[in-house]
Amino acid sequence: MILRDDRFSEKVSPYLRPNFPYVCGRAAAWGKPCHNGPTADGSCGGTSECHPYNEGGRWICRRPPSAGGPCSEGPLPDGSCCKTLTACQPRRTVRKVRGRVSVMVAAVVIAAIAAFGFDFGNQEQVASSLDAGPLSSIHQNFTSEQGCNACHAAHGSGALGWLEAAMTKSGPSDNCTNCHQFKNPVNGPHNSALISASHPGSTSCTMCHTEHKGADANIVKMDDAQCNSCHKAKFASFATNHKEFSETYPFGQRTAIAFNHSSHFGKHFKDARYSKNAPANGCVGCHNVALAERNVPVRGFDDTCAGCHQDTVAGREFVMFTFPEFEENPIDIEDIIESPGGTLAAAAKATQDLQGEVEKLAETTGSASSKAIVEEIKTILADLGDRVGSEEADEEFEPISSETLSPVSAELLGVNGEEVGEYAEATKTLVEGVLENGVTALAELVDEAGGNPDSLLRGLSNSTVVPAFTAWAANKEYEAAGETIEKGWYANELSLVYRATAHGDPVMKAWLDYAAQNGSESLNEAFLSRTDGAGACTKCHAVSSTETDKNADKNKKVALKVEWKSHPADGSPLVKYSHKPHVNLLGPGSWCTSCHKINEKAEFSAAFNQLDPHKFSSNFSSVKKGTCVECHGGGQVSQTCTTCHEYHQEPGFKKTMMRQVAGKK
Amino acid sequence: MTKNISILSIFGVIALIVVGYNAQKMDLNLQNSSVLTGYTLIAVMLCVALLNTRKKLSMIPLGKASSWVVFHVVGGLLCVGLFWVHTNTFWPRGLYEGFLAGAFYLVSLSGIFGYLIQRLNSRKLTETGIEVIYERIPLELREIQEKAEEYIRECTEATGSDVLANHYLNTMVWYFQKPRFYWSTLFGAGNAKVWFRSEGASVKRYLSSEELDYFQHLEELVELKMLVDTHFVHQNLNKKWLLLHVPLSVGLVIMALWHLLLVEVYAL
Repeated sequence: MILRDDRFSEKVSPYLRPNFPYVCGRAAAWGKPCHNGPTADGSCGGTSECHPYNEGGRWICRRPPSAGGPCSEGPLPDGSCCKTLTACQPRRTVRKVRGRVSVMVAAVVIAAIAAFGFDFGNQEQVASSLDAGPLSSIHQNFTSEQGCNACHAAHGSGALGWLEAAMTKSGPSDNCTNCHQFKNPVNGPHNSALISASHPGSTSCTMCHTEHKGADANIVKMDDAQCNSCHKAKFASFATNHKEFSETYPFGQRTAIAFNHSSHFGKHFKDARYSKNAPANGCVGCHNVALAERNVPVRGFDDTCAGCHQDTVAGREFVMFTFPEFEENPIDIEDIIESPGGTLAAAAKATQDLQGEVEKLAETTGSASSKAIVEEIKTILADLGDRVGSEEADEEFEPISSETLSPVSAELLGVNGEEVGEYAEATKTLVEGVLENGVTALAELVDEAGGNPDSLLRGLSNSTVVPAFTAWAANKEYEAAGETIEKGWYANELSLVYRATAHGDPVMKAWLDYAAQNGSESLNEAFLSRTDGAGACTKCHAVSSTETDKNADKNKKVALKVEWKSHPADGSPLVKYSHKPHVNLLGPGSWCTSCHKINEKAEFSAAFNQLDPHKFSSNFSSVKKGTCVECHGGGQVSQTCTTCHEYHQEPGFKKTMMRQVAGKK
Repeated sequence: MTKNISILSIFGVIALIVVGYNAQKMDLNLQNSSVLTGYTLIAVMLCVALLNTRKKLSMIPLGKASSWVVFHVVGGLLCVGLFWVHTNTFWPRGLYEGFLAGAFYLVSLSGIFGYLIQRLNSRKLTETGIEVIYERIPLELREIQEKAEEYIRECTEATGSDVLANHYLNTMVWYFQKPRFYWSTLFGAGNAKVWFRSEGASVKRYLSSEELDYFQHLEELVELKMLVDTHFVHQNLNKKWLLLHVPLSVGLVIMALWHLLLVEVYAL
């Protein structure tokens, strides 16, 4: 009984087996449990009260004291117990039940994984354990064709593929660049080769961008703390710790256009002669605020500068060819005539053909200038005819020209244009070539000199070239018949000249680019000089060195470039700033001068007399950090790193992705 | 054990802080902290799950069972913290991850529930003043019933009255057969006592003074059975909650291993 002190004595208590997986069926039914209890295999062990043992040929009762001790009847003759009981049905213990339930749960989980653990590519499949959650809205359309394979190469690759993927590092970042592209190195910090060189180690897309967070998830979010983890200069906020901007901020180099704000606003726009052309609304008169982004683009030349500088462009032509002085007659008329295919014969033929065409034009239009050209050609042909067979050719040669070869021609021919002994033969060959093949000879010359004839000689025709060269071959000055329109290509007296037709003249730009990239000192002087350069282009457009390496050989010829288009003031690729919201916020009246204040002391123009764009003096005082902090410092306006800085450089999409998008449409 | 849990909890909190700090540091360095937190979580989960194995290997000296329980409790709580550090959310996206989180929470909650009821039950069992081995309860109840029936026979033989015997057969035998008033006993409502007094009051007025002595013995046995019933109810609960906790833990470990495989194949 429970209150007995000796209740656990072997004389009163049966032997309990708490680790046995079964309990007595009678006890489970709240009856009196038998003394023996169930067996290990779950069968009833209490069908008899004892298991007699044989000693010396006699069976002896083994009923334990706790069950009453040996019975008086003793074992039966066959050795079995005389007290038999009805067998019970032992029941599993709670522990046993728990074990079985655990096995069942494990089986259910494994079966569920087998059933739903894989993506079988079946559209009717209800669910898959591979479904890690919905993609962001910007990515979810790109998996419709390839499915998970669009990002996960191991998907559907079978057991071996999974094993390989598990054993190797092959995350989804590898496939991001199938669509996305960045400046190289793609996996370098900030896509910067410079930073990568000093900070070895690669980055991966999933460091910052984690997918499967839902359609509306922001997968580009980056905290300031993440920036601080790499950057040595750590700070709590822009207002408190960010370093002061550079002394020239936001300008990292001089502007592409040498527009001196200081002199224009301080002097020219106040001059009564030009004040009517001054921009009516200040800065926005020239800068197009509607297109404001990081840069506020300048309106076109015609809308801004043309009011005062329209005539400047056409004021400076360049001479492509000047018929130079010769010591002896370079063109032997007799030889040309005697030769059936001679150059003079060809020139005469070409001139006659030209005459025919111009006569037709003159008859059709009745134009006085056309008739004048016809007369001029007739004169040249008559003069040619007179000279053939005459003794004039044998007389002492008196050169019609006392000029030197133009720098452009000298550059193209590769001769010294000042020394007749050097240029005579080359020039003679050129003249003969033009007489024989017209513009084609000049085109070949340009091509051999590394230029592009299509752009450099655009608009130049035989009608301009052949009569002039024919006259010069005859040791005559060329006099254009009628009134010469001195724009574009034209020949006059001893020169073949080009004069820009308007701002942005493509031929003039092509010659400046050619001179910048290939030109000699004399050619640069002819085209790129701010004071005398052809077209006066470089009066406003900066000419910069393309050489960025400070250690470059100073004796090496440095390629230049003419900066035709304006560029953002701050070239830093990791800074982002949009003028538009700021202008809208400040509103009319405050406009640009809230931040950009003209520095009248700056020697702005001097920076354009040299080639290094980074040596400059801005027209404007630098924008100070405090100016930004006025708004981005009080907590009302964002001042996180990514407010003003980008992580990636030159982000974009590959054509394959664009084709995919187009295919879907 | 409470003291040990408190001490070990300090180490658990320190471990959680260390892992959380390093995870945050990795995040700040744009490294994948999920690898650290995930592998730590599953390692602690597997260690915690070893308690069940330890119980099956009682023949091997693997430390005190109470120490294992302390580790199990603290480790389990550490898992909850690690889970949140790992997922950075209460409920992760993704169907499978949702099931995994559900299983984790069920295991955690059932574990916390089990720990609490064991703490409460042990106090209640101590308050009974007797010790009863769970496996012996059927035997104890049977012996109490036999003792009660012995008293009834003695009463009938000594007094020649069958009033108490009839009362026993009609009413009390039901009570002595097995544990009664399970929920009342579990929540300490005392329905058994009320029931016995109510039933006893209806018969006591018919009993002689000699029979009342026997009735007094019977009442003592009823009170003893109430204590045994209390042991049964609370010990039973101490065992039955594991029917939820252990199988769920097995399922959770399998699901976590599958999750680990998927992560290794698809994300790392």
